[in-house]
Amino acid sequence: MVVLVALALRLIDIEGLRSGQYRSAASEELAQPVIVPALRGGIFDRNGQVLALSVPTKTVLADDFQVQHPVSEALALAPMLGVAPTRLAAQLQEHSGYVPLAVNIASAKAGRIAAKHFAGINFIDGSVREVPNANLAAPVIGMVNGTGAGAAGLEYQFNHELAGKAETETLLESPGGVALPGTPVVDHSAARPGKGIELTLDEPLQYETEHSLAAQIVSTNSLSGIAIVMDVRTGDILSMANLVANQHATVGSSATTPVAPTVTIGPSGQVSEAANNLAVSQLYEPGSVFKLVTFSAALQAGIINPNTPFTVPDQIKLDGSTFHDADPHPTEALTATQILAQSSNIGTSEIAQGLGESRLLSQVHTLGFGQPSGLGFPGESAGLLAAAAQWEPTDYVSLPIGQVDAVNALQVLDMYNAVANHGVFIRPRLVQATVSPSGSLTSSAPSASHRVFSASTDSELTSMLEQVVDVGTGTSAVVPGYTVAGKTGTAQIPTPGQDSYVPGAYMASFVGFAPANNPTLSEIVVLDRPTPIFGGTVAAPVFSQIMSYALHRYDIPTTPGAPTQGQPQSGSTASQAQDIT
Amino acid sequence: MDVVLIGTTLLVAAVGVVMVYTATRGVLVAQGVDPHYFLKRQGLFVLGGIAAMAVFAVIDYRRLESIGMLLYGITVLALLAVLAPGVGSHALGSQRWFSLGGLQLQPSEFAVLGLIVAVATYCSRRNEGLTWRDVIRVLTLAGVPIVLVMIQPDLGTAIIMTIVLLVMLAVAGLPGRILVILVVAAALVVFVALEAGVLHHYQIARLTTFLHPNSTDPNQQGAIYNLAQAKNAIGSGGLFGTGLLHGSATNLGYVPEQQTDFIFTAVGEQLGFLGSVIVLSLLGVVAWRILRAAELARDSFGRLLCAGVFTFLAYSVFQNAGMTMGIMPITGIPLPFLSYGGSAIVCFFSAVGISLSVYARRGG
Repeated sequence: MVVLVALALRLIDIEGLRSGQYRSAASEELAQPVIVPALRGGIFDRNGQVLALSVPTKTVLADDFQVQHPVSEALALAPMLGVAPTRLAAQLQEHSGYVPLAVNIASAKAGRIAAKHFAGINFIDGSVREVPNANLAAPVIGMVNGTGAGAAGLEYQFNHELAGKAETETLLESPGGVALPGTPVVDHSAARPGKGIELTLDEPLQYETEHSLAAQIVSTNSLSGIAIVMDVRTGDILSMANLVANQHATVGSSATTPVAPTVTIGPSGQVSEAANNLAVSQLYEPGSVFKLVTFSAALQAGIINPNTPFTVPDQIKLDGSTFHDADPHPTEALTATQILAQSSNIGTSEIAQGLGESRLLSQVHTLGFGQPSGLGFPGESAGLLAAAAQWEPTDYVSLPIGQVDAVNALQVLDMYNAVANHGVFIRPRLVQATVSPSGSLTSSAPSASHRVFSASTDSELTSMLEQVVDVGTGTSAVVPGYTVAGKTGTAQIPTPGQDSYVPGAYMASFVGFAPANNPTLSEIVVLDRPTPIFGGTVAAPVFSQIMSYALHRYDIPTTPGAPTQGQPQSGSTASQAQDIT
Repeated sequence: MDVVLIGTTLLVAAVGVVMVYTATRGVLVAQGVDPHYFLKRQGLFVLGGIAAMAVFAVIDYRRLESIGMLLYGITVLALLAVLAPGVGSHALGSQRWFSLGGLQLQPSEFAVLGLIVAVATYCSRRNEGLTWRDVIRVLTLAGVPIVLVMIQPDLGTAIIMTIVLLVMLAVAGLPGRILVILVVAAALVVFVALEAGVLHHYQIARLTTFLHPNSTDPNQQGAIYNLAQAKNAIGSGGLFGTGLLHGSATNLGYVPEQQTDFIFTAVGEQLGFLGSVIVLSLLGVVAWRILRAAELARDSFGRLLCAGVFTFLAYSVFQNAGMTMGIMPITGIPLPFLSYGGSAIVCFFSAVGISLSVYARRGG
């Protein structure tokens, strides 16, 4: 009796109180998931050109226990697989039951082998990711990892759409891994192929952008370079190039694991795709291109107009520090337009002091700095801004000339694009549609936009930026037949961890748009540590080259009265007004 | 005739045949062989068992007294023979079987019965009570087969034989103080066996596995796995069970040795708590009827026989079912009438047959 009660109590414990626990432990062991990945969706440019595509493959496996005549089978199979018969014969006698003979071969080839019905030869589905244009736009497109899942860039950001849904089912298996006959298959769900994504990138323009940028990186011995072209009205990014010189291939990647360049472009293959999308992930002090913040705020506030006169010495003292313009000059009388065109640091500072701290900081925020661009790109950095609480008197010089806040190149382009777009700031966009497996397109939502300048301020800014290209520091940006507005930047590079700048190191940039009278395209070019150093000298010509190609590619009408010949491009600093911030 | 005992025994055996079938069918199907192989054999074993039961029930149990020592001699000889090289068969690391044609005979199962008859025979002739001299003789008498079984090694059966011996001595009127001394001595023997290396390390490890379900001792891994699978299977049953042939763990063969020593897990998973309690209760009824036969026996020989059979059966049930639920050590003791195996089936049916004979010839 006691014995029976003891057994019954234990039964209550196991089958009653803890039944669920034992049941789940049991089913965990029994249930074996089987997963067949769906074919990954492709990535296309704005015209449907393939940028990345998954191609179905087969992996050939041998269950060598089933192979009764390994030598004759190896002789027959070897030419079809393209391997040595001796090696194959050895593989067919491994006695392991699972011997991969060929991984990811073309489906057609596998079909020819399957038709022969070799004993013990099985196939499993796979796929390979192919990029037909070598590594064009690789930092933007990103990459997949060994299991075929997105690991970087858009492949990562849109992995959910691209991956689709794998076919899954759960089998109940014996301890020997055998699904018994008549055992029910539970949880079967069919595969759903991944969706494709159609980018805003334009493949030929991307190619031109990369090659123009690559050539300049080589000829100026830069570490790296960024170039972006944007559709002014829509915010669509038409090209986005991120390149590094090969001797500096670790720029933008982890310093401890240099990424070996897989594909080289540009002259002599000296330049490679960057390891990541520097245009959104690399922060830098933008320098003079940031002066637009001060000028737009001052115009908007009515403090200046384009012709407001200023008396500009070539240096000022503020809070014990001395600031000066790029080139020594006597005290001059300059209009606001001339201050911008000549990129006078002292003149800009005078305007900023009239504007005041809070309006200045507020304008930085209004123009999108310190905030995500809206792309949601993996690894994107919103920037590092000076907070009002940290304001110092010297910031009246440093901040307006772009030496305080750290920003990314896309944010700078967004600001100039707002000028081009008649004062309406528009969020950038990289994906314009998704493509269903059957090929139908679903357009992405148009980018959100909001007004940041009044129409009158905007037209004043445009005229002033035109002067930069016409007579100021940006004359090399001229595109024959079109009016161009823009701004140069030659910014010092902070020494990491120190309150100083790297001697002789500069970020050279040019950002602007064309045609100035009816803006269609905006563009930024940034070169890291070029020689010569000036944005007007090294970045502006690349801007011009890419912009010229793009304007012609999109059949943008030329501007009547615009110069038909480009300014003679000069490699020397002496023949041209320069800016250093 | 005790129809209750006969009916209950047949019912339990029938449940056992079904359980053996469900526990073996899936794996046999997977192997592409006859899924009824174990079903048919267990059916034949039960028929053989019923025949043996009938024979023992019809024969007057008092005739066993005259051949008691002969049965004992045959038992000892069989136990010696099974250890002889070239005669006995190895399986799972021990030598306990004879192969006779397609059948395997496990004499240690019958050794328990032989021991019961021999001890009952000796003790029933000492109506005036057992002396120290008798005790030593009985211990020697019983010690020989117990040691032979231990050498095989079949520790579980040796333990059962020892417990049966102690209970029978108590029923035979052994003075309390001697019984206490014997129990203490037995405990001492166990302690010495554990500490002095008489037992193999793996034996100790296996015996104590149920106390250490998370041990990492490599000697315990097999038993831990077995016990974990057993508890998973029983626990999966819940209140009403998964239904016959719907128990995943049972159908897929997750519990090692399920049709033999771990047959109770097939009951637990497929018939649930209710089914398990019913099966255990049926076994309880069988034990109760045997105990009743002991009470009603006309002589001390019959009483001692039934007491021995009762202890044998009741302890086997507790040991086996307890083992599958992790409250008793893992030993190779079959669950009476349910576990697959001819020797055990015939042996337990014979034991019931003896009890039936005692009941049929009860006093008054």
